[in-house]
Parts: sequence; structure tokens; C-alpha cells
Amino acid sequence: MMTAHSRKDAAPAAALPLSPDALSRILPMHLRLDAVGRVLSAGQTLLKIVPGLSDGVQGRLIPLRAHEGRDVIETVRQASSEGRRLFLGLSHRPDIVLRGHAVKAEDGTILLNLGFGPSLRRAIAACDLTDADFPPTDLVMEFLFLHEANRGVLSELSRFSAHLETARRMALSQAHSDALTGLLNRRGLTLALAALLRPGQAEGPRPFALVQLDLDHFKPVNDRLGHQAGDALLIEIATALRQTIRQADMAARLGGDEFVVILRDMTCREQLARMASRIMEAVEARSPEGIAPLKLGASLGIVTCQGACRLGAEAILAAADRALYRSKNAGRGCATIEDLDAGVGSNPWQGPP
Amino acid sequence: MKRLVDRTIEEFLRMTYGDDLVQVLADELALQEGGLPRDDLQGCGKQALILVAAQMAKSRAEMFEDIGAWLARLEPIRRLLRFSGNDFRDFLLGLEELPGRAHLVLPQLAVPDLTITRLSGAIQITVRAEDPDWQPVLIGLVRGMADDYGALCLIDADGPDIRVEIWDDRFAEGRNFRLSSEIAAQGGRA
Repeated sequence: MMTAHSRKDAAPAAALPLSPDALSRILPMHLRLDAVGRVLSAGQTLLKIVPGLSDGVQGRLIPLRAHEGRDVIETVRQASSEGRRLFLGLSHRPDIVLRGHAVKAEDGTILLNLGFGPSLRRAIAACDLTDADFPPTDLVMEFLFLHEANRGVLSELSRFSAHLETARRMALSQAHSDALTGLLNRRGLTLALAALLRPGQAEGPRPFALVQLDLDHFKPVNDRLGHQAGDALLIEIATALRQTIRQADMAARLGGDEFVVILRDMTCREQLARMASRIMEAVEARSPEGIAPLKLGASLGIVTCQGACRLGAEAILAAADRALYRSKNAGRGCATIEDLDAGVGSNPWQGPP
Repeated sequence: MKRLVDRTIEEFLRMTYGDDLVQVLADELALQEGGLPRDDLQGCGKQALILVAAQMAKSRAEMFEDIGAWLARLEPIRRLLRFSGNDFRDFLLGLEELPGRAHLVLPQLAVPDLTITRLSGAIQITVRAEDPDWQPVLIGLVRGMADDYGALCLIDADGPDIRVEIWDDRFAEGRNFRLSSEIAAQGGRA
């Protein structure tokens, strides 16, 4: 055929005289059929995937998609005349789908070139294909390289983010707890209190009592028995506090010998008075002999807050602190309970029960 | 990207010299930084590598060669490198494509430009890198890959370049390489 650019005196281009072997090397996934559909040649890689293909395509290649159930030769012929894509399944390997296109030569033969599309990795694994099975123009090596490299980078990334997450959790828990006793520290307590007061919980903010606790005669422990003994005692007191309160309650150490306990859903004075005396007894029971005749004790300031309490965390802590000082001024070793919802001028309850 | 490099160095030191040595290095670095304890070498992998070289009485270049050879022994890395060629000579000639391939996956990785020249009886790899430590790393890597392909050759520094004399392409069997990582993982032979 002459093209618009060819000169008048130029000879028409001769048909491409390619041997089946040369055709197989340049197009290892080709299939050439004669006018009635017999196989004239097939590429070496295609033969590796479809053994016996030289003996015929019927029963080995199956039309898929729009041509499912149709005759394979007819489908190929139609695709070549309409210039459409072909999807061919393998009868012995339903998980591999070949896709390609076909052209009709002037002599009536049909040339198909096929590729793997998304079944590439399955085909490589199933037929153990190698670099030599693909022509140098094929991007298959780049694809496999990218696939494996991406997998490596992704697993490295997820390892890193898991590592970060663990570190973040550990840093958070350290930032919110007291290094000596393992109770919450001031920051942890403020956050826990803010969470309790936060509106928007399904049943609204729940009632609670906040106990501020200060040890009486703790300084002599440090002075006479040493700071190590003092620290050991603080750890013991913390353990005792944890054992005295319930699972859902929270205990914090704000520094020195100052502790705070949050008792959830407990605002009844009788219950609080019993809890207060249990705490005071637990502290007194741990009084070291080395400070006799003095005796370790605890002064408590307790505030109760019903669900509707509109005070912030700082105001509640300040109120508990004031209640604590009333207990201290009343001679230590006692508890003062104040109802924050009752408003100014309410009568606080005071005393050892 | 530096994080990845530091972690590679740390992993090399852990696998070669053990976790205890890495902890000693981490303590040393922590002291230099003001005492905040650390259990990894993040941010100072190269510095740690140089410290170990001094402790092991190795030259800096030997240490960087070791890490290159170690990289070539890691299965995922070795596989990626094997995609560059079907025999050792092919692999060497394909090294020019290595920076491009690395950038496909990690665009920020500073891989040096490599130029391959065929000389009579040898192949010369010209390394254009700002960091001179790349040369010994690549020497180690190329040596490791020569073993992987089973090639017998002489690989050495030649000024800033690398000179490879291949004596026998198929001296030894070389390690198994299949395109499919699934088959490779099973170690299966068809």
C-alpha cells in the first residue's frame, strides 16, 4: 500500500517476511491463525502458558466478557475486523485472563498479540515465567520492582507508625501519672475531672465526690527517718488508698503528702463519712513507730457535686482545699463535707463519725 | 528519608554486632546529647557506624563496605536488585537505572548518579555523589551481588570510581531467583 508521503517511483513495501521463530522472539505472546482458524505460529511465552496451543485454540482459549459462550475463532475474527479488545480465558486456568487485540493480514491470516493485564502476577507464579519470557519493551520488570519495593516501604511505614503509637501511649501515661506512687498526677487528675464534668455524655454529667487528703505529721517521718522512709510510706499510703476505693474511682497524688480521690456516684453524706473514716484508719494504721509519740493521720476535705454542678475543675479543687483547711483548723484527723450544689451559706458537715 | 537510612544502619549493627552494642552506642549518644535516655540510633546512624568502626579497628571504608554487602544479603533488597539484570554483567550495565528505580519508590532518597563504562576487560562504575561514603557502600553491594549471581570477579576502588573485572560469569551456581516472590518464598523449584 502506498502512503501519502511515498514518491511515485518508490516500490510498494514488500510484505514482512518474518519466520515464525523471529515472530516469536519479537512477539512472545502472539498467535497467528489462518483463515479457518488453524494455528500457524504461537509465541514462546504464550506456549508456556497454554501448552498444546499449536494443536488448536478450540477448547484451550475461551472468549470472555461480551463474547462469553461464543465460538473463539469467530470472536477473534470479529475483534480483528472491528478493532476491539479481546479477553480470552484459559480453560485449564480460570484465574488467568489474557487480553489483547488482533489484526487481519492481507493474506487473510489473523495476528493476535496478547498480554496479562491484572493476572500478571498469577501467571508468573503459575507458569514460573522469567525475565527471558518478556520482551525488553515490556514494563513487567518495572512493575514487579515497584510492586515489591512498595510492599517493603509500606511494611516499613506501618512498623514505624506502630512504634510511634506505642511510644505515644507510653509518653501519655507517663505524663499523666506520678512517678513515685503510680497514681495520677495533677495533670492526669485535671483531665479525669474535666472528662467527668464534660456535658454531652448520654446521661449527662454524673454526680461524684472529690476528696482532698493531707497527711498529718508526715514531716517528722522525713526529718527523723529520712526521705527514703518518707517515700516508702507515700507508696504504702497510695497502695492503701487504691485498696480502699472502688474500681471506678480515681486516686491522684498532687505532690508532697497531698492526695485527691474522686468517688463516682457517691454523694450521700453517710456513705462519704464511712469512706472518710476508712481512709483515715488506713493511714493511721501505717504510722511508723519511729515518730512516736506523734501519730500519722489524715485530714480530709470533701466536696460533692451533683450532675448539674456548673463549676470547673479548678473551682472544685479550690473548694475541696478550703474544706480541707477547715478540717485542719478543727484539729486535724477529721473530715469536712460540703455540698457544692447547696450554694453559699450551707452548713458543712464536719467530724469523725 | 534520613530516618530510613538511620534505621538501616541500626538494623545492620543489631544483626551484625548484637543489641547490646547498639544499647552501648545509644547510651554514648544520649550522654553527648545531654543525658535524655534513648534506645535507638535515630538521627545519628552514620555517627554510630563510625564509632563502631573505631571500636572494631576497621577503617571507615571497610565499615561502609560491610553495610553494602549486608544490604545485598537482605532478601527483599537482593530481589529488588536482581530485577536489574538476568546475569551479573547485565546487572552491572543496568546499574545506571538504579537511581531512577529507587526514585520511583522513594523520591527523596539521595542515590548517587551512576555511569557505567565498558573498558577492555573491565567495567567501570563512575559514582557522582556528594557523600564520599557512597563509594564503599556500592563496592560492598556490588560484591554481594556478584556472590548472589555466582560470578567470579575483582571489584575495587579506582580513585573515586569502582572497577569490576569479571573473570567468570557463572563461576558458582548463584542464588535462586524467581520473578514471583510467592514461589521464591516457598523456595520451590519447578
